[in-house]
Amino acid sequence: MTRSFNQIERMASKATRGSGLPWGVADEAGKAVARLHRHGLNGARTLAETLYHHSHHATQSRSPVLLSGVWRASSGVLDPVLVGGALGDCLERLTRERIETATIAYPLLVAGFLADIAACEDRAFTLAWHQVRLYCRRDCLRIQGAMQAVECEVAEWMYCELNCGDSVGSTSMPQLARATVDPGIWKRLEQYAQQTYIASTADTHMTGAGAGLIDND
Amino acid sequence: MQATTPPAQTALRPPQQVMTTARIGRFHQTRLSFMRALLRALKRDGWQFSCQRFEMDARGVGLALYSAIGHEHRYTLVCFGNDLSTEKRSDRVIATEWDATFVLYDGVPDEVALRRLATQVPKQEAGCYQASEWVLARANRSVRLFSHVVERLAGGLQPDPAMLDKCGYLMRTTAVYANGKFGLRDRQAEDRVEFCAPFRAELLTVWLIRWFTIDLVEHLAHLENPHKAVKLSPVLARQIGVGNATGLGMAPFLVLHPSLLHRWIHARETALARVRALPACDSVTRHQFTRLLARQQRGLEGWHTDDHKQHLQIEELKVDLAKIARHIDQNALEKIMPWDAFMHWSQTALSVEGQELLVTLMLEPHGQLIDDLTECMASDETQYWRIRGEQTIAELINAIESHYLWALTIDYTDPAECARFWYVSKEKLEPRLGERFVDSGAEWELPLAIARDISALHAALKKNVPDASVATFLLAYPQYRHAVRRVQISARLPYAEIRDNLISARLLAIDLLRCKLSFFGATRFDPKSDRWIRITMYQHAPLPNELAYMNVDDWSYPPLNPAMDDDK
Repeated sequence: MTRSFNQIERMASKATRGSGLPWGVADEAGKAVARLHRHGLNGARTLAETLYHHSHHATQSRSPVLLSGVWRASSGVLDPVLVGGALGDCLERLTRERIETATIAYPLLVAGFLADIAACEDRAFTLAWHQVRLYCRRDCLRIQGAMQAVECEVAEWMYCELNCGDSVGSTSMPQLARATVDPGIWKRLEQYAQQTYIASTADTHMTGAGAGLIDND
Repeated sequence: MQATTPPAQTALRPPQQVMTTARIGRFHQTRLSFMRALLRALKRDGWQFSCQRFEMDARGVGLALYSAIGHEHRYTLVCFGNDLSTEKRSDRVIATEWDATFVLYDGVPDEVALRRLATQVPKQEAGCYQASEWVLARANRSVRLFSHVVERLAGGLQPDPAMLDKCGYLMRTTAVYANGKFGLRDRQAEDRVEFCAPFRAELLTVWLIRWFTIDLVEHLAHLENPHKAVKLSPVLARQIGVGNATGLGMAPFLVLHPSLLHRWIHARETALARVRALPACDSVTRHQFTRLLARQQRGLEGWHTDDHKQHLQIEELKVDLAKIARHIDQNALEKIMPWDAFMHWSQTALSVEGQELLVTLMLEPHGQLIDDLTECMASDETQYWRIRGEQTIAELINAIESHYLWALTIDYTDPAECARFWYVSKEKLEPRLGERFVDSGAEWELPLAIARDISALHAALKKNVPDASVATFLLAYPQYRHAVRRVQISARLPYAEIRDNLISARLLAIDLLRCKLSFFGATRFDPKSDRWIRITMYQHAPLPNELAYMNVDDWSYPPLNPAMDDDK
């Protein structure tokens, strides 16, 4: 069974909100996850793992403490959803210098944020951690490095640069029309998303949408 | 190559005048509306339509296929008829069975695809869909009119025109889904050029459904009485539109697509400004306008509603149209810049509903001047999505005070101003409105409390250092990301925000629905509560098999003499 990117974006967004992050952050995460799937990368799994950590740590402790210098979290591990959003906010700084981070969880998810900005605003970025180099330009994504390293749980450092540099030796990722998400991962996201749904009571069932149950004309 | 000079225009009406629910909830269709633009485009591009298969039994159960063939692509409307018991016939989105279900298929489905669709499409939301499926829809019969038309045709007679006029449709759609929902095809900017304009695929589907409903009554009449049954006269067939019941789902769409909303309103206001800038009105246009006015007056006679408030507004509109007629008789169109003077006059002479209907009528004779604006009504929200983190807090405060002063003056400690919250229902995953101080779940409300949240953002910003960056502020206050984004969008797109408190006890959600439906081109708004509304689509429009030889742009106002259909 394949899924539309819109389905993935909406599910990822609701799951992120259901994990406790605000809607403004959640909607950005949804776009990032869908963008990764457009290139055949497993954004849904990366998000599900990230959200698991959200439910065990305070949001602020996983956010960069300061936007100057190397970005670090007070908990010791940066959250990729919070870093992805903050990098988008700091494009002006990226025109002057690279942004470096200390330890970060699931850096692939950050790539989803940057790939989305690259596609929507006609930008180019390089993102690097360990043996991985990831190049985004417009709606193209190129990767250098083994997939195991790309999907790593934690990277001790990461940097982001505005422009694509030398992408020789990298592999161009496909641009897909549909995505496949592992049913187990989908279920995990759905469990988070469920938090955002409100069950009807007898009263709200009738009044919430404003109509009667039977309505012939 | 010579650059084209844009037409002259007066100043646009300011957003503080236009973007209130009291005004956008009084909008009417215009020639820029999506149904109108769709039929113009289909005719211009020489689309061909035909019924490929019609296999329905006497209960209306079976399969029908309609093809739509453009220059490069072909689509098929796949229709599944069902025998629905009366107690299951509901407008509500909570229904699980319908009289007919539909899918707009990319290309021509083979038998394997049809078998798959037959197992999925009748289940609607519960089905599984592929990239070949563009649009999913369902519809229920209007029981009284449907049975009446079948009976009359089976007896060799035409249906009662008064009954057709009163109801206006044989079936009403209860949902039309697209853009990747439930796994349907994603709508992407680079996708088919014929579907680039807003809601094109959905409205093509509805137009084809209308054809199916007419074929269905004729077919059932024939099965009932093969020797005596007759077809609907073309004039009466055109009086039949498609009904639609629209609930709260549309309201969040409008609020959560701010750049799209801006584009729609900006196009409409630009069209108005171009017409207002015309130095004079020639005799041909004057004749067109007065004739349209008479047809619109007839249209009001066919606009029926049980809603008391809407009924009063229709009565007020009748008075307004009479005032407009008198104003023309007093040589209003002989003045310099007559349309501009007309609009100035309307602001004190007419109701808000009358002013907006005047806008519709003023735009109508000026297709050559304004129809190009339909090309500017799509928008890619992602262009405006990223937060400009380099902006300072002082600059953001200034933007709020420039564009959201209306939100800052509301007292959110007053329970009436926070009375409602928008949420997604667990049962149907559809937007709903809850009572904040009665219902549980407000902590998971959708981000539609725009006014309240921007007011809170303003207060939080005031406590921070003015020259700090917005990026730094958002590190500490991620809960304001959506509010910051909206302020930055509104600073660039003046018509992006509805300037009312969407959680107030006074909110009439149907005002938002009516705004969106007017851009679709809907008519005969019939509110059923403060949260849902019935409308008619495509009434008096050519049928697909008439498109090639009929005037495609003269159907939004009923003909003066319906028996003769003299205005076609």
